[in-house]
Amino acid sequence: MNPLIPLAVMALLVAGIVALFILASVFLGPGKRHPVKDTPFECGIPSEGFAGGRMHIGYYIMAMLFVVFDVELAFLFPWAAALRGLGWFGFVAMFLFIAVIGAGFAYAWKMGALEWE
Amino acid sequence: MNPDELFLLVPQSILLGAAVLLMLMEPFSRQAGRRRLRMVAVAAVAVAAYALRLQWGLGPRSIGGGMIRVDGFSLFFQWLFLVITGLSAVLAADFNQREGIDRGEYYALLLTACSGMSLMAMSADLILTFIGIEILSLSTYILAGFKRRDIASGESSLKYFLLGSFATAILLYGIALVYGAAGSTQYQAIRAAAAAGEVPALLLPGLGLLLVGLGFKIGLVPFHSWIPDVYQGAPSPVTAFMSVGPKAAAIAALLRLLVEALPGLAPDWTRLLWLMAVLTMTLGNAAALVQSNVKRMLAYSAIAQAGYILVGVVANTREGFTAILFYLVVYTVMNLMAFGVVLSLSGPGDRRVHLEDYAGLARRAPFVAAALGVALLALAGIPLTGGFMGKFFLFGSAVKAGFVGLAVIAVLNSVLSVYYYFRLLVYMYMKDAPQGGAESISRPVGAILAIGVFLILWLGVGPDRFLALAGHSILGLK
Repeated sequence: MNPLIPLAVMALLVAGIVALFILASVFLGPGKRHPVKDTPFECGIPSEGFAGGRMHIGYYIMAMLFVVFDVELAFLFPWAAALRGLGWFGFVAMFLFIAVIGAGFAYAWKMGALEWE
Repeated sequence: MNPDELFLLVPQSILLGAAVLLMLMEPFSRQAGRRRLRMVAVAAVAVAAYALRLQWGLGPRSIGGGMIRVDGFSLFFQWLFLVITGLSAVLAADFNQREGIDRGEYYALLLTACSGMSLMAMSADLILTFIGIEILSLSTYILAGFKRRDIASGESSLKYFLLGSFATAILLYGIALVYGAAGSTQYQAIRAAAAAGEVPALLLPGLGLLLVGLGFKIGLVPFHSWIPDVYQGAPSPVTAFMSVGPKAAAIAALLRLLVEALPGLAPDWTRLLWLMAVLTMTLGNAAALVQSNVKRMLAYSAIAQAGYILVGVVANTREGFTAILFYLVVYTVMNLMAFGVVLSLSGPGDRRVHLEDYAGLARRAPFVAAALGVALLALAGIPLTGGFMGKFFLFGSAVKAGFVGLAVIAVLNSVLSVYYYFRLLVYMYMKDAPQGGAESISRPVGAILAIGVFLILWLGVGPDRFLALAGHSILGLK
């Protein structure tokens, strides 16, 4: 049997089930229109403003700093779990990594990236 | 990793350590005097060069589980990158002070870019090549936009970033396909997979996509469109750095990839690169003919020069690769000289970069005009200059490898390029200045120009020693 046949069956099943759900909601749903239902879903909060509007530059810097430290944490957890196997080399390597990130943090702090205004 | 392997990475560590130090110096010692910044940068480069000197003659070795190759080839390029970075820092110093952008981050980014370039030359693994390219790219994206208040600089940075990340994505796709075909990202394993009987079908599209990504960094037609805009808008010292450093690094990565990982596909990539070399030379020269902005003209000239260098890759012989290394040294000297003059004369706001601004320069600043003249003659490939010797070796290697047509096209292109290089000479020597103000040039830039003139003439008259060094460095490539 061609190995692609199960894949094709899978694709057909997925397309069929999705189509079934969409069609079911179109035919069975009450279909009442309402201004609130036509707005984009915003976690339940009423949406305001435009998507293309201007943002405070502070969000951008905060987001960037957040990503840096988030990635650092993503490294720290597996490192902590595997430290016994890594030995001193892993220990020193991680602290070098933290020192570089720390230098970046000190730089950002001193340059005023954490002040909102 | 054992201590013996770490020793080979000391130059990189020095560069990165100094980069962190320079970054911290900016906010923490603001009053400490601007001179100290560039001194730290130049000292770091000098110490790294000394550490590199200690590795000379150790013989080729692989470290990091075969990811990093330390051999003559990578040492040669690391040395070249250190020279480029040091000279860029010196060239930038007075310009940056004039433009108010003399900040620690500038030098820190130069040093990180240098370490990225070195990784590209040392890498024997697609993942590490990618990381090297990214370290280099991120640094140069920021450097291009370093004059934040200047709209042209911002435009340059944004264009470079958008197009560059797109090219990087294509490169990554190529890496994924090659991995899919060979089952490994290591060059030796890829080579073995291609050698064992039939070439896997996915390897060819993978090679194509990798060529797109590296071709973008080198600035090969048809992936060159970013170069004129980015080179023109970026601060002049950054343009000087970008026109030599990243180009040489991408060529080093390309050579390693093609020669070490994909020699089995040589018929395919020589045919592809043959076409790209012809297009790159011809389009670069043709577009340079009509430029009135000197920076933009030098940008198109840099595209054309990349085409000449590619001739050596197409030849695919030891002589061709030797000629590439030799020409990269010459190209670095002459391009840094030309941009050194441009950034010294560009005046407040980096604005005086038009051909008319060079009218009568020979009378206002005879030494500067003579130095730029020598650089332009070398770029055009006039005999007695290093540029002639470099082109002679490059095109000669193509003829010996049987690519006579390509050599003929390259020579015709050199003839074409004489027109626009000489037009600048005509402006400097045969036109009267609109107003005869004396030009001042800083002492370090003057010293670099003097050494540059000497080097270009030396390389043009007695290239043997450099050629032998290049030939020796290429032995690591296999």
